[in-house]
Amino acid sequence: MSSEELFAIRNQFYSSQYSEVISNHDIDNVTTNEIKQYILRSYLALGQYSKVIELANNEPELAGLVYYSKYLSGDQSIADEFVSYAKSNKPSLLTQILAAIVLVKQYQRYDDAIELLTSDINMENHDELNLEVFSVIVQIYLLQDALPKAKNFLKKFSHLNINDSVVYNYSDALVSLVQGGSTATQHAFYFFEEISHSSRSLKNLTFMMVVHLLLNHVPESSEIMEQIDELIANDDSLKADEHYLTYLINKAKVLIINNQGSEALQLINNEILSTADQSHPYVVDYNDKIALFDGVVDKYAAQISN
Amino acid sequence: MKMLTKFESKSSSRAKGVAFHPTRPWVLVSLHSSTIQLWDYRMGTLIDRFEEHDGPVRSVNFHPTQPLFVSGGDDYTIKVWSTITRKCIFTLSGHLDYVRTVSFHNELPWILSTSDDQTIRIWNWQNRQEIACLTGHNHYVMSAEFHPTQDLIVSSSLDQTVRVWDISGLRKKHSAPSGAQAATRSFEDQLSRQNMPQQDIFGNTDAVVKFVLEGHDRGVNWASFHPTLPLIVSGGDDRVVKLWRMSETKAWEVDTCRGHTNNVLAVLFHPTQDLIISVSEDKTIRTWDLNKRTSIKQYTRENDRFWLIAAHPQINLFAAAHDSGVMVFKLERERPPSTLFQNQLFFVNNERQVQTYNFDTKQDSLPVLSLKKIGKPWTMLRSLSYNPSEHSIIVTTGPEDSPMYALIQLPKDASGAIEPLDIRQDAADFAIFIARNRFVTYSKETGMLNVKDLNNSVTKSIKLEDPIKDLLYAGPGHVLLLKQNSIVQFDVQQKKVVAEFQVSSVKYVTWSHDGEYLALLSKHTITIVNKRLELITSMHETIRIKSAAWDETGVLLYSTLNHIKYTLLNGDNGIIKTLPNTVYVVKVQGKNVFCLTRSGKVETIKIDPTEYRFKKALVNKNFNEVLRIIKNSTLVGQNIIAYLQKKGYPEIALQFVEDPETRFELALESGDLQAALAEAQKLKLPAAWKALGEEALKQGNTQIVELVYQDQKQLEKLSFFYLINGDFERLRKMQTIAEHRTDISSLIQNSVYLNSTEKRAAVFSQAGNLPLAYALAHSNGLGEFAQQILEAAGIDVDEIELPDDISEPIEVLKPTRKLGNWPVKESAPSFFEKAMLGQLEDLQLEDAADPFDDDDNEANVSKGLGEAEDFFDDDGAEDDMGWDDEGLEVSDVEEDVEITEASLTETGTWVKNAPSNAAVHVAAGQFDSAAQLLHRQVGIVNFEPLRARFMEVYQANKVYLAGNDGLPPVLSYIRADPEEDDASRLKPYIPGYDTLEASLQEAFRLFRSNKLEDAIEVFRQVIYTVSVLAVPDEDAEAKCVEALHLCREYILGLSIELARRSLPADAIQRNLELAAYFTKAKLKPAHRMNALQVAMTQSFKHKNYATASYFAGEFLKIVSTGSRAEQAQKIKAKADTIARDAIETNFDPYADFTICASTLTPIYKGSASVKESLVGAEYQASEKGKVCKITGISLIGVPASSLRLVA
Repeated sequence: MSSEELFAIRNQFYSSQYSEVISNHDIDNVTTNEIKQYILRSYLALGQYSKVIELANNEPELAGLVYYSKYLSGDQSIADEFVSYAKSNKPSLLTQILAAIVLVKQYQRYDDAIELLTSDINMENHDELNLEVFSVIVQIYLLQDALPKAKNFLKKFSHLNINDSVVYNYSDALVSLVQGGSTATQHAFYFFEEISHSSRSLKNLTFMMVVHLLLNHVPESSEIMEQIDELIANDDSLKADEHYLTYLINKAKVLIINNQGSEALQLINNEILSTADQSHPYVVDYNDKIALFDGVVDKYAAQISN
Repeated sequence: MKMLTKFESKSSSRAKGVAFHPTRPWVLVSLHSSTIQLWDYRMGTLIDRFEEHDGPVRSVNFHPTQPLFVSGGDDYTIKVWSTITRKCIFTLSGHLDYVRTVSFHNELPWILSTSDDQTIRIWNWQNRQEIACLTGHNHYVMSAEFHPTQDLIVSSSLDQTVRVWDISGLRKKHSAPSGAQAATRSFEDQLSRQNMPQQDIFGNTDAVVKFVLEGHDRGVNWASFHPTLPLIVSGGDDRVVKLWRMSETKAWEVDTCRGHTNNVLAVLFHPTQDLIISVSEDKTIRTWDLNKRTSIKQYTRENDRFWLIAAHPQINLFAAAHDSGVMVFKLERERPPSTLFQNQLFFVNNERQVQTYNFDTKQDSLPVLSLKKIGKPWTMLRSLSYNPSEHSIIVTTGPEDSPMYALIQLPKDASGAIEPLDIRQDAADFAIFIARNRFVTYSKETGMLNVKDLNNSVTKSIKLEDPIKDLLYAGPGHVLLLKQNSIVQFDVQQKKVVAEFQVSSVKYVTWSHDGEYLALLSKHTITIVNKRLELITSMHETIRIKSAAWDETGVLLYSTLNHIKYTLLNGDNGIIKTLPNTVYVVKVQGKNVFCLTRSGKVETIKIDPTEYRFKKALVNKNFNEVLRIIKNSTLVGQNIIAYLQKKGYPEIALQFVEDPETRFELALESGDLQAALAEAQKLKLPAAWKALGEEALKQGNTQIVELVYQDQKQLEKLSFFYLINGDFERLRKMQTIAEHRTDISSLIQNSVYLNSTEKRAAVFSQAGNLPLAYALAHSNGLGEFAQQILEAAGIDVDEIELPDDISEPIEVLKPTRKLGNWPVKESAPSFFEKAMLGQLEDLQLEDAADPFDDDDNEANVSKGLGEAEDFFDDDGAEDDMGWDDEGLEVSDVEEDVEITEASLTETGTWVKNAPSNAAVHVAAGQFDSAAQLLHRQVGIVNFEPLRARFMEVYQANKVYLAGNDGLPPVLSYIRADPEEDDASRLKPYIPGYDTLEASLQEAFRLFRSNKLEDAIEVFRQVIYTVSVLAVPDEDAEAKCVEALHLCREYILGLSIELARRSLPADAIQRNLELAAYFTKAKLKPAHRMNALQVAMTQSFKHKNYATASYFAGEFLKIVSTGSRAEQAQKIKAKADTIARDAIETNFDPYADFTICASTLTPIYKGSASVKESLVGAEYQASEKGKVCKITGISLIGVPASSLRLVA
C-alpha cells in the first residue's frame, strides 16, 4: 500500500497536480515523512507558505522546508542562514535541493549551487529524490545556457533503469526542447502528449502549448491555450499555481504569434509586469528591451524634421 | 491459419451437394431428402426450395454466366432449372443409375454428369441432347469435372482409378462452324449432322482416355484439376489424398498426403494459394501445403461427416456439405493489419511486408520491412501497432496457433523489403504500444496483462479476471479490453477500470479525430459511445459491418460487405456508395475515403459528402453551412426533402423543390405565406386557395386573406372581412357589385354592414315587401322615403300600426383602427430564415460592392500594377545592393568579432546567418544594430511607431519552460524551421508574413465602409510589419514589396480624399483637383471606381463637363452595367453635349504625372522629384529630408540601399 501511495503521490507532485496531492492525502495520517514532504511542497507550489511553516515548524526533520517557506514568503534575509545551515549540517537531500534553489534565485550563484548538490549525491541511486537532485542540476546548467553540460550530465545517469521516472523524463524533455531540431522536439512532444493526457496540470498543458509553438503548430497551441483558460476560469486556485506566471508569459507569445498583438500587450502590461516578481527573468529582459528601444528612439530623434 | 465461418445452414437431412453462385451471395444445397435449397449466405436466409427430384439429390451446380443451375440425383435424372423463374426447365434422362455429379462447362453449352452406371455423359443443354457417353470406368463414377481452360476431363471412380479424358474431338465436332463455312453449309449437311449418332459404334472417338492414374488402393471419390498448373488432386476410400502431375504425354503420382482417418470424399486446390483442401467422413476438413505436402491444419466438426467441399470461383470462400447442412467459411482473415499515424498508414501487404501510405501525396512507399520470418508459415498477421517515438512496430499473429508477437525496429527509409535485424518476440495473443517506451501484451493462456518495456522485459503484470477477446489502444497508458459482453477502459498504470460499457461481441473500435467518441463495431451493430463510454447512439445493420472511420467533422463512415455508409451522432444514417468488392475503410479525408483492399493495397474511393455534411449541419443548426451547401452543391433528391420535412425544416426543403404542388405544401408548412401564394397562383386549385386562406387567417395576414376571398369569389366572407377591417369604401363597392349581380341577400347583408338603411329600404320596397321597407325607413328617420312607400302602397299613415318600442336607429360599430397584418407568427422566423436573411444580405453586399475582389482578379490586378515598377525597382536595387554589400561588410567585420565571442548562443547564430535582416537582429535582441540596418536600408529615423513591432518580433520566438519547482524557467527558442537539425543554420521564427493578406483585406473593408482614417492606420501597420520581417525566399520578398507599394498607393489616395473632405466649401478649384488626383492613385479597379465616381460627380456638379465626361468614361471602362454605370452613362451623355469646363484646374487627364504625397501636387514626368525608400513614395524636391507622410517613419530623399527581407 505504502509503495503504491508513494508512487501515486510522486507522480502527482512531479507532474504538478498539487491540488490532487493535497486533496488525495491526509497530512495528519501520513505513513512516511516523504509523503508528508510532498504534501507540504504542494502547499508551497500553491503559494500557501504560512500554512507550511505552521505545519512543519515543530519538526526538526523539516527545518529545511521551514527555512525555504520563510524565504519564499518574502524574508530574503534568511537566505544566508539557510544556505549555511544546509552546507554545514547536510541534513537531507531535500534541504540541499531547496538551498541550491535559493542560491540560484537569490544570488545567481550557479556553481555554488551545483557544488552543494554534487558534494554527496549517489550516482547509482535512482531514488526519486536523488533524481530530483540530478534534475535541478540539469536545469541550473540550462539556466546558464550550458546545453552541452546539461546533456552530458543527463547521459551520466541514463544507464540507470529510470525510464519510468517522471522526474527523469521531465529533465530529458527539457533538454530536448532547449536543444530543438526535429528529433529532439518530437521526442519531447511525445512525452508531453502522453503525460498531459493522464495529468492535465497547468504545467503539463503549458508545456503542450509551448511544444506546439516550438513545432510551429500555431492553431494547436491556441487551442490548448483556450483549454487552459477554461480550466483557470473554473478553478481559481490555479492562479496561485507555481506555474501560472510561466503560463501567462507563454500565453502572450501565443497571442503575438497568432496576430493578437494588442491582447498580448494588455496581458503583459496588466497581468505579467505588474504582478510578477521584478527579478523574474522575463520581466528583467522585457524592461531591458524597452529601455534599449528607448535608446534607439532617442538616437535617431534628432534627424526627424518636418 | 484460421477458419472463419460466415454462414451455417441447418437441415434435417444430409447435405450432399453444394454450389456457389458466381456473382450473387447464394449457395445451392442439395439434400439427401430430395430437396434443393437456395440460401443467401450473406443475409443467412433461405430464398427458395426446389422439390422435383425423387430421392436424394447428390449434386448441384450453377452456370458460370447464364441464369441456370443443374441438379442430378438418385432418380437417374438431371434437371436444369432457371434461377429467374425458379422452375425446372427440362429434365435430361439417359443415365441408368444414380447420378453422382453434374456440372456446367465454362463456355460451351455442355453439362457433364457421372453416374453409378459407370458412364460419364456430356449433354448439350441448348438442344437438350446427350452428345457423348464416356465409358471405360468399370465401377461407379464418383466425380468428373471439366478442365477450366483445356479440353480435358478428370474423373474418379470406385474402380480405384482416376482418368483424364481428351475431349478436343468433341469440341471440334460440336463447335459452331465459323462464319464462312456456315454460309456455305448446305441443308443436307445440317440434316446429316443432326442425324449423326452421338458416338460411333466402336466407342468414344470424340472423347478418348488420355491417362489412367492408378495408385489409390481403394475407390476414388473425387478428383480435381489445379486451376493453372498441370496438377490433379484426388481422394479416396483409402483415406489418402494424392497429388498427380501430368505432361502432354504422361501423368504420374507426385505424393500422398496421409492423415484422414476415414474415407476422403472430396478434395480440391485452393483457387489462389498453394493449398489443398480435403473433406472426409472422419468429420474433418484438412488443409495441406501443396509444395511440401504436409498437413497444415485440421478443423473438426463434432458430429457431422463431410460430403463435399466447393470453392467460390472469385471470392475467398468455401462451402462444405455435411451431415446436418452446409457451412460457408473462409480460410484466414483478409483484412490486412494496419495502423494510422498522422497522415500515414502503416499496413502489411499481401507479400507479408510492411508498407506505408501517405494520405497527402496519395502514394504508397516501397515495402519497408519483410515479415516473412515472423510467425509460423500459413499464419496471417493479425494486428500492427506503431510507435512513432521509436519508429518501431509490434505485429501479432493472433489468438490461433501458438500466438506470438514481435517488436521490430523499422528502418529509417523505405528502400525495399529488408529483413528485420532485431526482433524481440514472445508468446502472447495480443500486443500493442501504450506509451513511447511501453507496450502491453495479453495471453489467453495465463490471463495475464503484461506491461513491457522496449527491451521486452516485463515491468508490471496484471491478472485479468475475465478472458478478453481483443486488446486495443485507448490513449497513453490506457487500453480497451474487449470482452464477450462489455468493453472496459483500463488504466494500466494504476491498474484500475476507468469505464465500462455493456455491449456484446465488439470486434473493432475506431476513435474520432478529437478523441471524444468511439465507434464500437460488432458483426451487425455499430454503437457510438463517448470517451467515458457512455452511449450516444446505436444502430443495426443486416449486412455484416466490416470497418469504420471518422471524418474530420465527426461523421462516422463505415463499410459493410457491399456499401459505404455514414451515420451521424444522432443516429441518422444513409448509404454513400455501393461497393463492388469488400474494402476496409481506414481514413476519410474530405471527399476521399481511403480503404485497404483484400489484396493488401490502399485504394481511394471518391465520395460525395454533401448529403451527410448537409444533414450534420442541419442537426447542429449550423445554418450558414446549410446555406453554403444549398448554394454550392447540386443536392438532392426526394430523400433530402423528406428528411428535411421530417426534421421540421420545411423552409429549407423549399429551397430544393421546383414542383409547385410540393412547394406549396412546404411553404404552408413553414408558414411562408408569400411563397405559398406564389405557388397557389400557379396551381389555380380551389383546394390550395382554401388552405392558403385558412393559414393566412390563422396568421392574420389580411392582405392574403383578402386576395384569397377575391380570387375565390367568396363575396360574403369578403364583405365581412371588409367590415371588420373598417374598409367601408370597399364594402360599398361590394354593395354595388351585389346590386349588379342582383344578389338580394348579398345586397342586404352589405347594406346591413354599411348601415345604409335607405338602400335596404329601397331593396325591400323593390322586392315588394313594403311594410318592412316602410318600417325601416320610418324608424331611421327617412321621412320622405317612407312617404314614397306609403304612396306606392296607397295607404295612409294612420292605417299603420307600429310597435311602440322603436328605439333609436342603430349605428354600425366601426373598428377603432384598420387591421393590419396580425403579427402572430411573423415574430418567430426560424433559425434558418434568420441565418438565411443575414447571410444573404452579407453575400449580396460583398458580391455587389466588390465584383472585382475575386482572388483571380486581385492577383492579376496587383501583378499588373507590380510588374512595371518591380522591374525598375529591382534593377536599381540590385545595383545598390552591390555597393552596399561591400560597404556593409566593413561594419560586419566588427560585428563578426562579437559573434565569435558568443558563438555558442542561439541568438548569435541567428544574426550570423542573416546579418543584413533587421528582423533577425530584433529577434536576437540586438535592437541597436537592427535600427542601424533599417536606417541604412530605408532611411528610417522615427522609430517610435515601430516599438510594438520590435517587441512583438523580439518576443515571438522565445518561450519559457518550467522546470523544477522554485527554479526560474528555462528559455527556449522558436525557430523558423523546427525540423532544422544543424545547429549552425538556425534562424528565428518571425511572425507577420501570414497576416499581411488578412490585414490588407481588413484595410480594404474599412475603405469600403468609408472609414478612411482607420484604413490608413491598417495600411501603415502593414508597412511596419514588413519593415521588421524575415521571409524565406525571393518570391515572398517580392510579395512583401508588392504589399508595400499597394499600401503606398492607398495611403496616398486616401490622404488626398481626406484632404479634399476637410476643405472649406468655397475651395472649389482645389476640391476638383484633389478629386481628380485621387483617381491617379493606383487602387484596385473596384476601389478606383469610388475615386472616379467622386471625381465625376464633383466635376459635374461644378459644371466641369469635359472633365466629368473623361471620368465617366474611365468609370465605364471598369464597369459597364448596373445602376452606377447607368448614372455614369447619363452624366457622360449630358456632359458631352456641353463638353467644356467652367473652372480651370491643375489637372490634365492626358499628362503623365504622379502626386507628391506631402504637398498633394502633381509631379510631371521629367521634373525634379525625390523618393522615399521604404515604400518608394515620390515627393517634390522641396520635401527632401522630411519624414515621409506615407510611412511616418522614413526620411525622404536620403541615400538608402533597400529593405533586405530574405533571411
